[in-house]
Amino acid sequence: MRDLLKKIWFAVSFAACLGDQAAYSNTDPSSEPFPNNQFSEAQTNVGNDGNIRVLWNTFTSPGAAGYTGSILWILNKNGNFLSSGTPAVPGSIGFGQVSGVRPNILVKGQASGNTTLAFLFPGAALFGVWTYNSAGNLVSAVSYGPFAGTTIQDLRFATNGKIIVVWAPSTPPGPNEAWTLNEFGGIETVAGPFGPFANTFLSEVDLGGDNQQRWLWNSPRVNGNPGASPELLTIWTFNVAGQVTATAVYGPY
Amino acid sequence: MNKLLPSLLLCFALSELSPAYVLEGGKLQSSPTNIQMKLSSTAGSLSNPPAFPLSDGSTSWEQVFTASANIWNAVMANMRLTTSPSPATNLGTQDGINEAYFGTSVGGFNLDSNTLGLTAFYSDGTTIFEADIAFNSNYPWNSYRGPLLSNGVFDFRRVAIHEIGHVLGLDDINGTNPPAIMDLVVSNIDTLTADDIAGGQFLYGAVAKIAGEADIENPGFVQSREAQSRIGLDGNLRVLYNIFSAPGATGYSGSTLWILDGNGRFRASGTPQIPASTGFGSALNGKPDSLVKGQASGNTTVAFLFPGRTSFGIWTYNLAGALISAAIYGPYANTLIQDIRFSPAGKMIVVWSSAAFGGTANAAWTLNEFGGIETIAGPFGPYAGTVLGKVNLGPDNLQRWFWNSPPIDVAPGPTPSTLAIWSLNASGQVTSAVQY
Repeated sequence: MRDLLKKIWFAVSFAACLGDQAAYSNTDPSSEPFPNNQFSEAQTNVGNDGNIRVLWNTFTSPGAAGYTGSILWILNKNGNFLSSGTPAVPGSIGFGQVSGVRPNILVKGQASGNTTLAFLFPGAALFGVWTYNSAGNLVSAVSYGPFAGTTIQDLRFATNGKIIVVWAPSTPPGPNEAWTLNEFGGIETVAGPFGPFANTFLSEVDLGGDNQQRWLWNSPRVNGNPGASPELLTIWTFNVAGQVTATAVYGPY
Repeated sequence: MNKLLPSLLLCFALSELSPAYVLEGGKLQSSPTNIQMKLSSTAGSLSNPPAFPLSDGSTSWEQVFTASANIWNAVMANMRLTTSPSPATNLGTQDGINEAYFGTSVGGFNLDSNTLGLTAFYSDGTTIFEADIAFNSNYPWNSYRGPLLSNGVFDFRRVAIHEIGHVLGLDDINGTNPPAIMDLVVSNIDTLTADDIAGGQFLYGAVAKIAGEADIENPGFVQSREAQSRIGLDGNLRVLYNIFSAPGATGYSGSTLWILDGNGRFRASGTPQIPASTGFGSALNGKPDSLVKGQASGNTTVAFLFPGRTSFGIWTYNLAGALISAAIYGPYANTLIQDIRFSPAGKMIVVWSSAAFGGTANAAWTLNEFGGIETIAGPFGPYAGTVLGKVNLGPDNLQRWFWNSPPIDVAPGPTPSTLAIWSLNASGQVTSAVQY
């Protein structure tokens, strides 16, 4: 971990020299399997504005076969219909490589009244963000990726409605990068790339109410099935510019 | 021959650049080492006694002091400080008893108007035989985090951490480069820094546990993503260390809560630790079923799902790491916990299902951050071909129930033909029902 720490500061300097240049270039998408399907955040049907969102997934036949798309409904706090999203989400969007055949769509009701959908595309190499206003009109749509040798390790909404995207090498070891996006899919923070660090894995990126990222590294890895107990937990704190502003290392114990 | 060496923590002194931690030249030789706390019993001498609970929620000076000792304990391998309260007010010196109290002198040394705390320790240069701490009773005290208050009220905890550092064998640093709680001058540094930790670990080693594991991964279907939100509503981080008797995540023996500041710096550890008998549920991979939520109040709520999913518990720690409430609910006949989660606002939602998982009648509870029940809704059902898919809590802290007919929450199955949404009030009564 002492080596890691040295690399931390080297990486910070390196990133500062590069500015916020794109970390990846376009090539074929990765075939790295995505570990999860619909995240729990997508299950939060009551938005930050108090209204309920429901995403209807439509199929051509019973048994969830023949997915054709999804329709967003915006309901008031008592479940009464307010509006539906226009256009509907086509089947070609948000239909990721998941266990089962459900679409990979995260839904977040924003405090502004808007609704943000985040899609993970097949192969987990790119993602999209659509935002509807309270009347159900699509007001923005963006997509990012694929980037060479890269897969999406995590895609989620923070409690305040921001989006966190964690990029990882499709064939480890390799660097990690994490983005923070606003409710319209605009990139607010690009942190990284950092790594790889020997026997060290980025286990989680979290966003505080201050909109600053925290990266939690484990050495060795603990994300899979029970394995060796980690010796080190390293926490990096970033500013909104994506620069490391503080590090803390705990262990070994 | 023992000699008396006073260590002083002065305020209002000018700071200057200084190297890393400084050693006093002696250290404690046996672990555990106890410090007798005569704080409440001498608090009558305080010129400006605060109201309790203190600003960080602590309910006694002993609680703050113990948490301060635990901060050091968390980073040292071969030394564990214990504390014990004492109602006595007599202050002994060179009696072999380590003491902490409020007063204006210790070991014959007076605390002047610039001295917040003073530690007198007795050492032969390699062994510290005794250390006594006096906190200046002429100052107004409280316990808080962050920058020093402009009203002149000092943070007892950071001064206690500093003085305990002297007990361990660390000397003052005259200047804050690198930053350190062991600086001669009290400052906005409110907990151990890397330099302080390095000093403590130089004296007592860095290996504190047999094996530790940061609970980062998703432990299974029970632990919702909210549990992964390591940053609390107060901006501080929480880490739950799961302790195993051997590598390979075998022999789970309990968990330790750490409360870190927004930059990941250690602030407090939860006392007591979570025993293995608590929170070791039916999770994936044999990992404990513990949910952690940092509350806006600064408290930390830990929820446990017990094996068999028939009962759950809620423990709440304050910002100082002291356990301030504990509650357990269940088991109830033929009833299982279908879901347990924190809402974004820090409330807890527990969904009960009758008979067996996927059963027919349901009830849902809303609990506050201390495990107190605020709402009991239900039981409702059974309804033919209908399953309660989810209970959600809105920003208004009112429950919404989402019914599916047929169920859609599991692996791909029939497309649901009906979605019903119930809205409930705080009394658990259905106030509206909409069906699509």
